[in-house]
Amino acid sequence: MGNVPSAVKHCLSYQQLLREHLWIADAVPGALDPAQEASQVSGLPEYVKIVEVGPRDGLQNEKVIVPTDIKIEFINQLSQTGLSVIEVTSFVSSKWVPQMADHTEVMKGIRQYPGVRYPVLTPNLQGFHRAVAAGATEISVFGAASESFSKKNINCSIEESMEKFEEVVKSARHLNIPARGYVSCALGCPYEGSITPQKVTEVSKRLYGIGCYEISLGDTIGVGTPGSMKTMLESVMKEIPPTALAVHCHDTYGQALANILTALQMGINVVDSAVSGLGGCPYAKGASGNVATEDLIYMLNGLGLNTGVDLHKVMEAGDFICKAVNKTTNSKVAQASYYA
Amino acid sequence: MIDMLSEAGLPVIEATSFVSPKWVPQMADHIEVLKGIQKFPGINYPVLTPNFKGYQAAVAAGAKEVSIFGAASELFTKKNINCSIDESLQRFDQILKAAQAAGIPVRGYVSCVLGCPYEGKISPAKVAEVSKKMYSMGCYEISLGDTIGVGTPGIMKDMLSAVMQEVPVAALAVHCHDTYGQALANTLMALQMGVSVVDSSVAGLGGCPYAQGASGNLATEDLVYMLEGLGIHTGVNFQKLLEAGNFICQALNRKTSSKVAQATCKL
Repeated sequence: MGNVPSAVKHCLSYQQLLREHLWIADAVPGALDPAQEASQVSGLPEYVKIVEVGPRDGLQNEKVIVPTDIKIEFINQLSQTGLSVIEVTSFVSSKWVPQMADHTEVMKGIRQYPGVRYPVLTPNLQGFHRAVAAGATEISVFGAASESFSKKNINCSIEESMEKFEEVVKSARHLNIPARGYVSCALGCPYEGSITPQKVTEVSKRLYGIGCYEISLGDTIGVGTPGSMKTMLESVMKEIPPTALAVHCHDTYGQALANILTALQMGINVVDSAVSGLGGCPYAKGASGNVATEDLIYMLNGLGLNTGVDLHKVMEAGDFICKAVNKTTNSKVAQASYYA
Repeated sequence: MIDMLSEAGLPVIEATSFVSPKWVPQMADHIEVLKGIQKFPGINYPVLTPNFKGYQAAVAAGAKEVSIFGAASELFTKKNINCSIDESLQRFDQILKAAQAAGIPVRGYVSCVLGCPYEGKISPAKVAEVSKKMYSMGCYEISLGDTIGVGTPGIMKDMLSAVMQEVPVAALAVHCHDTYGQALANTLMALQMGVSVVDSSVAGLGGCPYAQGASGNLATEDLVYMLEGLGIHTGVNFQKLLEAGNFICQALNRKTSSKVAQATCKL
């Protein structure tokens, strides 16, 4: 930058920029501003579905145990932002994940808005039954593209985990409950290091084959870069249609948005994110975790892509939860907006 | 800090600014810094010269490359240096002529290429116009700056498409700010369009004067991480780069803004 003095007055406030300059404003569902349309980069999907994982993946990795009523209020706020999928909780043993111990109360306590889906994690049949009893109408199962990660995380091999998931997904389909499949370590593993695209494809294909309607490919430790994202997706897309794929990028090394852009350019139109970039990284103390929903929406809006999500309302929900867990937001958009 | 960055193998390190200390107190020691650094062979140490006086002082202190700062926004130019864009270019012309005569390369910066804190939206045509003028006046390279970090990849693409019609892509660089977390995605887009020069700042040093508390420059560590992952050669020693970032953060008593540094230092 040039000779900018340290204090600048009289410039447009961020709020003013948002009001007057639609290229960084919220997208109106179903309508594109001509300016946005003109900026629309060719080859990108018109609509991107954001899967909000803050309440589950995000909070799961936060040290402060959030009271049940706060979790419920948080999810209720997210339900009013236009997000169409919000991952609510995990029906896992509280011994493993204390943050999710109140899964039943949260699932029963949230207001389920029409048009919004509320999937929950169900690592096994027991969790699945509890989830259904608590009112869940969509579930997710969590696989990994790394044997070591699978062993350390859920104490079984990939094949053993797939057998378990097959039981869960079969039961779910029997009750007309859609199941989403996650593949962790898609771009690298904290134990094995680099992971072959072939392995990711094999695991994804398995999950898709047992009946998962969508496979979310996770860069669990955020080590991926656009090149490795491209190579991995090229391999997976040979076996699974892009419409059934999602990316779940962690921002541990600051690569998330660049990796997401690459995925969009390849035809992926479902992206997972967490409001405020909730959740750290259990493998790199002090490092960040999920990509922030606000920053993702900002990029998608700027690209002229429709998301149906209100950025302001997401920022409000982010502000709410950050105060509750007593941390500063990991979202750069939120940081820039609150101080402007 | 500069010596550590030189050891890290960065090919160009912008050392200081020959600006009045009244405006930028941090750069008051510009002469001592330029004279004091170790000048590694093969590394360039450009300095900012906002006016002819600064240029002369820079040359006297041993500068072998200078930079000048234009903008694609009339209002930004007025507020920043109290004149119009055309007037600013006329002032720079004096520097360019003298530099050319002395065999000193001049780099031109264009601020506000993807948005202005005063004018808001900036047309790609305006950016192309200013870039073309600076290039034809003799700047060997034009660095296109998203000064307030508001840009997103689509807008970066539109702006570069317009500029590349007037200035060859080999003479272009991008200077993305990460105020809204978009810098790396914007830089990736620029690379996809053929740009091969990228500005960044170790540890993501420097905030944003327009959004207090917000971040500023793209962190060099995070940029190098992406480039290495893409198999793009940078010549940078990553470990030494991290050390330089760690050093300056300790000196400034601040946390790094680089995600890579945050992740690696704690492992």
